[in-house]
Amino acid sequence: KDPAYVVRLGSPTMNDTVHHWMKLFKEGVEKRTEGEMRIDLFPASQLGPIQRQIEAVQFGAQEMYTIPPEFLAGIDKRFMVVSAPLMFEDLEHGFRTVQDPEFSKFMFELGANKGIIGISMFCADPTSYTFTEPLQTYKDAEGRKVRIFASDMERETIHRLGATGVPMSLGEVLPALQQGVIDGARTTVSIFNAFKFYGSAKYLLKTEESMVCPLQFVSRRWFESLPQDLQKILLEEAKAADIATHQFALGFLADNYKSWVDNGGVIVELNPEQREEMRAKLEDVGKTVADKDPATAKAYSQLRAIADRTRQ
Amino acid sequence: MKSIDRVVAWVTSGLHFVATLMLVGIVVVNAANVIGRYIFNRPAETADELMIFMLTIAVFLCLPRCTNEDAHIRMNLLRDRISGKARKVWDLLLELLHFGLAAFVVYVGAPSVAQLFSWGQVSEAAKIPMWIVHSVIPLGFALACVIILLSIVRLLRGWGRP
Amino acid sequence: MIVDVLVFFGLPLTLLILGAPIYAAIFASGLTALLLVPNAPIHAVQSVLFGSLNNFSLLAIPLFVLAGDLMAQGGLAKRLVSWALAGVGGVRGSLPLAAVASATTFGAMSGSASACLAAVGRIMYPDLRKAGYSEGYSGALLASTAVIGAVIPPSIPMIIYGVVAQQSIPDLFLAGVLPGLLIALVIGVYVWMKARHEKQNVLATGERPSFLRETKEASWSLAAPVVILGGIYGGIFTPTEAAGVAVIYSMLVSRYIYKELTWRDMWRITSESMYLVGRLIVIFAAAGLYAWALTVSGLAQKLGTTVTEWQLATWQLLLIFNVLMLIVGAFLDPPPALLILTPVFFPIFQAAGVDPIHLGLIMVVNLSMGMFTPPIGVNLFIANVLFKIDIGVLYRSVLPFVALYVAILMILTYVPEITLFALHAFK
Ligand code: NA
Ligand code: NA
Repeated sequence: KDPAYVVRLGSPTMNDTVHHWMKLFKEGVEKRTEGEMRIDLFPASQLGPIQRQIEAVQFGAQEMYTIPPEFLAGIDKRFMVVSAPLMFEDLEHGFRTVQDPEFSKFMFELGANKGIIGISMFCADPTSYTFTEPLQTYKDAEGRKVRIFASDMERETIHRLGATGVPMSLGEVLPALQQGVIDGARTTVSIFNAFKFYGSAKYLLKTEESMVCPLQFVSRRWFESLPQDLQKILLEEAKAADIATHQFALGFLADNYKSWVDNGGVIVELNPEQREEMRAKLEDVGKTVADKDPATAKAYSQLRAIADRTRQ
Repeated sequence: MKSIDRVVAWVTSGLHFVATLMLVGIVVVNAANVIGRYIFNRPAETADELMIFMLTIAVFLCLPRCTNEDAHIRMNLLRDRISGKARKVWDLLLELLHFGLAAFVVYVGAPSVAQLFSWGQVSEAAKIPMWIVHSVIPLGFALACVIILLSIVRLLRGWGRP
Repeated sequence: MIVDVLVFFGLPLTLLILGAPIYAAIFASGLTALLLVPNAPIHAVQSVLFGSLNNFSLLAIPLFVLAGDLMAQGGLAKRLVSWALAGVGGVRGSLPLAAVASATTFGAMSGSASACLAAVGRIMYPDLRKAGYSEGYSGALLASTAVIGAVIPPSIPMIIYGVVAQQSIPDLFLAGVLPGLLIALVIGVYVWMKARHEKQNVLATGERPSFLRETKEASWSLAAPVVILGGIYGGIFTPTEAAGVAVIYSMLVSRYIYKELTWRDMWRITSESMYLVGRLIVIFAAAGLYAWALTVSGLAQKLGTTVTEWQLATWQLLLIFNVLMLIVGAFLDPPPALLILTPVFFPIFQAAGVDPIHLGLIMVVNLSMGMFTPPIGVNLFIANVLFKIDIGVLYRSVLPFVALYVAILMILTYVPEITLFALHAFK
């Protein structure tokens, strides 16, 4: 039979942790609603660039999207705090924190008066760097041109490391690396692999200072028009998919490091001493950036407190 | 009608002038970004976004003039073989279609812009209020609507193009 | 499915034939499709129209249009043509041959076939006409030859495919080298044979300019590709940024070296370019809505599923896919077509054991042909606007070139070695 409700769910990438979540969510919801609701998946930015899909969900032109919250900073600056370096120790800690009811309530409601409601959150990948030239430690990144996503947190992070941040869309990064327009890139190992950076920028500096934790959100206008039981199913299935995806994410990360090396890439690990040094440099990036705006500063200390509580 | 035509021509040329400024702006920002990054090791972090927005603004500000001067790209193979009353009806239907589409964009776009304004939404990098950039779409199409209506009046009265 | 096919193919075709503005015909189709989607998301109109232009690579088009204009009016083009003519002047059909050679050279500094057409076309078209070639033949030659620009690296469509299919973009770039040269060769031979058959004039030795003198005279024009390519491969700027550098270079050379343009002239040229760009890019915006509605309707996916169920041999699959892409390319330009088709068909061909780089090349060549195959092709519209050639005349005149490209496409499809040779040689 024809479904009474169709959900268009978009994401920026494909065949990764987020895509895995989407498939689980689709399966769960369609089964629970016995076909009354259908979830159509549109990975790989098929429905448009990131900022435009966010707007589409705000307007109710698209029902659902999944993106790390720092991309939502144009809606509310406070979304950026999740991407602060050292907010989370690792994927495990990140997951524990974003699943904390107090933390998730804050994130889910943050965009409510701008048309979006969060329904789930997990942590997919840690960020690292790749470079075209070999390096020994994070200090060798100094003076190099590194592609970043132009968020305030990334700018400050890259500045602290003494490198130059070059904002650039993902599609341009590889040719820019090959021709030497830039010397490196900051993003996640799964994206390094997906774009085959090991061919031209094979030195992966494993820093893992920030966790990429996608927020799944729906159009408020649309969500509130749904019957209560369907709303409940969406929330529950999203949560179930979070938990299953977390296990997947851990394996996926390990697989990605392995496949980086299998493809000829080199992983540069920081020794404990270097790691501590780097941590000291980056420790107050989150606070420094957040302090520029009172509401963001408040959100940062609030969420940071939850993260510290779940740190173990 | 003549004075209306003059006003329309003046307004649409003015918008075309602004669009040209935008194109100049793209050239300047692009050069500044390349020089800044390569020579001074300081890339303009907002350059990509600015250039994309300037192109968007330029395109939709050009739309009224293109409509006014009947310069839209189209296939006239069949249309040119028709003349007289049939051609008039034919053109009238095309103008009505064009009006309907343009009006629909205004109908959907204007509230969207108002919404972005009330949300205070800003762009990612340059923190430009999004309602300003978005507004060129309903603005361009609203002017196109006026122009198409004038054209319909002209067709019905049997007047030629200005 | 029948309704979908009517809305996506029947409606725009009808409106185009009736003479509606092309952007309006595409827009009407996209909008109608959108209204048929469950919980009709009409608000998508604003965000999709806006979002369709949200593409950094798109900036290369206005910039290369402007650069081409400046080169055409600022004396760079004139000298480049004289130089090319001096080089091939002794051969029949020297002008169309020079056009092919220019498109190939320009292709190496531009990622977009449209930009290639805008730049080379503006330079070559008036001379082709002066030499007595018909407007249809000249326009069709330039519109179709420009596609070499999308195959020879750098290439925007290759980047799009690489991003969606998660394939190495440098490998894709390398894969385009030989096929791009093959296209140039085949078209070169065709125009030469045609000129011989039609007994086109050969320039007499006396009136032929000296190649050495012309090279010196054109040195600033010839340096343009060096600056642009050198800048790209020397790591100074990206291919998209190179378009802006080309603008500045042309401005400086035509103002201070050739002294053929004043700043006032440059403003006028910029204004004219903007007018052209406005009419072109509004079609991109409408195509964005169309592609969005097509994606959301799931029609492309449905077609993909149907194909898988047939269980065909790889060569049959490739043949059908090529035909399908030719049909899609007749209506859509490469970027939206790649965005829609790649996710649907990539898994099918991966399962069939087709090399993903080879598949990318086939898709880019095939869909880029769509830029000059009737009824909707951006190169046709550029030729229409730039050279004021009636669209109907262009539709007829491109047919021989479509036939040539189909033949090349078949060779490239069934002889993957042409694509993969450079790749293996460099590894
Ligand atoms: Na090219
Ligand atoms: Na076409």
